[in-house]
Amino acid sequence: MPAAAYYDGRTARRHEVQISVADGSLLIQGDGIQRQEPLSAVRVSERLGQAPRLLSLGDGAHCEVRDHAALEAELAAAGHRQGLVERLQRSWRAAALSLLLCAIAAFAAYRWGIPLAAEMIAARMPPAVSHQLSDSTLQALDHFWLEPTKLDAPRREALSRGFTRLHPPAEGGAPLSIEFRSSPKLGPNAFALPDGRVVLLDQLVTLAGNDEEIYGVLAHELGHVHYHHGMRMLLQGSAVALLLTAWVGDVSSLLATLPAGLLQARYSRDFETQADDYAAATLLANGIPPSRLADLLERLLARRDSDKEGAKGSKDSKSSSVGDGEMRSYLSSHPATSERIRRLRQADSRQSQQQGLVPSR
Amino acid sequence: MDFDQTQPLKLEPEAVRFHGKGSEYFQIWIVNLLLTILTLGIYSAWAKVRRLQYFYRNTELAGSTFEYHGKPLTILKGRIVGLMLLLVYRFGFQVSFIVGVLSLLLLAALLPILLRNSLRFRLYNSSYRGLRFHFSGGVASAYGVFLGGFFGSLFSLYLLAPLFHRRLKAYQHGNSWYGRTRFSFHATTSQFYGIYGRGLLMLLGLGFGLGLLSSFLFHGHAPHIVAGTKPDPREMMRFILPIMLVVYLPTVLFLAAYFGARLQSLIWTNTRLGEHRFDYRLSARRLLWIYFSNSLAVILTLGFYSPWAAVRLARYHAEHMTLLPAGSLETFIDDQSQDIGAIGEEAASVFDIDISF
Repeated sequence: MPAAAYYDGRTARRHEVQISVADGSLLIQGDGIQRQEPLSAVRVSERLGQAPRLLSLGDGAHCEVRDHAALEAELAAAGHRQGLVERLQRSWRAAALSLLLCAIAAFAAYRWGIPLAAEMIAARMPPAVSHQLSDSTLQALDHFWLEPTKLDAPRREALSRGFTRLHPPAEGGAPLSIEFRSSPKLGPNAFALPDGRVVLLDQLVTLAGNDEEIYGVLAHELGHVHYHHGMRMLLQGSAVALLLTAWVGDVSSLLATLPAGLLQARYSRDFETQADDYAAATLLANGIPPSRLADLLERLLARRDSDKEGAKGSKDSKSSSVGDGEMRSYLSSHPATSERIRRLRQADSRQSQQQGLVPSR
Repeated sequence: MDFDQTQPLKLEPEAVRFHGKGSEYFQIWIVNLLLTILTLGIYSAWAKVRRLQYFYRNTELAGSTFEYHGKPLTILKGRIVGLMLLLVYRFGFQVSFIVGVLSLLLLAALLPILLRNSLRFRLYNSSYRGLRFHFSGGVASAYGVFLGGFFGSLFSLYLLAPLFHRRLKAYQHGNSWYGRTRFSFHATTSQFYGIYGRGLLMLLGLGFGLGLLSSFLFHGHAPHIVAGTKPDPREMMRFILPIMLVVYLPTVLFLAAYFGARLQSLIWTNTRLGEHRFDYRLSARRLLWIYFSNSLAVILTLGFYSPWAAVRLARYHAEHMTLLPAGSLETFIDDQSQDIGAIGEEAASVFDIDISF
């Protein structure tokens, strides 16, 4: 017979009582209390560790029990069964299994769940939203990083014309347009806005050996547009940050922002490969060998290496150290550049095997 | 107050005890976490009820525990509403400017009611010795306290923030009841200004020191950060990680510890339940250590230390609370002037949104 504290629900007065279960009834006795309630009308609170359990009666009265072993013996004798979750919460084996499954679920969500959800949502995003987003992004870029282009109008015209003549490899390519800008800070670079516009920097045009290399980069950016990579990156980033916040919890929510960027690195690598494959297909469809893009990547690598040498030679040279930083940031956002070059050259040779010749324009 | 003469008057201070254990709570937490993941978050309402019940029932005052009575389905409803409001707020401006402004207005109109209702929900669903707590703060004053306080602080450049903080606490504590006994709040505005003022001075000193330190550490290492393009995550991390560790983390931990300790102590030592008083003296230094070591352990264990961290923090908070009784604790009676059934009914229909002060 477990000891319990009885409260009548009308005053805070504590009564020391004994409880027992017999014939489907709960008996409460002692300290002037004598009650008998059918067990079916008693709500038995779940066992949570060693915390006291409460037996609540219909009229607001309850018993508080700390003698878990005695109470469980009485309840078991009366046929009361513990809930499934209640049992799992007290088993170390269940805890270990839950831990393992949580880890698997977290990995699966990160590797497949979030990318898949982001892909589905990004494909259904209203054009107005991506347009608005592109506008504000370009405004911010113009304000902090970009300058007006220094290319002359005929050159821009020619590049735009060549670009709009590119056939997408499949139906339904995005409308193509180039935003020309210059940016000594960012160096040779190009990037796609979520609504399909491609920002092309003068520095890249200068670096390229021929126009086909530029079309290669533009086709790569079109790949990002085609697969909604910008929007997906945004959604995946928000999802990762949100889940991390929920995960780390209020104990240290400030930490949640920290690893989100690291976790994103993998996504961006997958996207680069996908955009390269799209670029290769686009270039082939237009009779340009995909290795043109590889050529440009090699130029970027070479430029980085020479900048590194330069920086080593003259440590106080401001311009070369800035150049080093800028190149490093472009190339390391496209990781394993040599691997990408190899893939693009392979796309080339596959094509020449099929057609028996290297197509050229 | 009218004391029951048959009961011996027990005027010794009653210290709150906390019996929760990290390992015990871990078992509960991990099973509920898995169920939450498997149900895509729906089970989180059940998990929340278990979490609160575990912490309430392990909190002991004068030999009796507290209990939480919230219903998971009600909490789930509240969470859905809360999530929808969050989405409206988050994406309103991306749809159009008008929609954005409208969603802000909607939020401003709803938030005071939601906050007041969540106070009411939380208190009504808490009990001690079989008697429920409840909250009687009105809607009109909720607008004054929450909206007025927010804009009043903002437009006074936070010069009036301590004043509005006191008003918020007076609203919260002054309208709380245990059974038929009302809480009252006695802290003065100048006491709030004192704590805020000292906190600001210490923050300035800290900011100066950290600024000096980081200007030595990070001189000339700023990376190129371009919004919306392809920033290199590793490049960013190389820069952001040290800044977080050296500047952001100490500042946030300091703020949380200093204001957490000083304000909570001020608030509770100036709160009374009927004629009973509370003693609550937290040490900012000790709290800082708990926050710091908890955060570190949570990072190093990829989050799996959080049940232990939560228990550790709860124990520190609970075991520094002492009730200074002015008479027997057995004489509290249920509030019969209020129709508890109706209050429960109403509380069950409103939203429980997790916003702690």
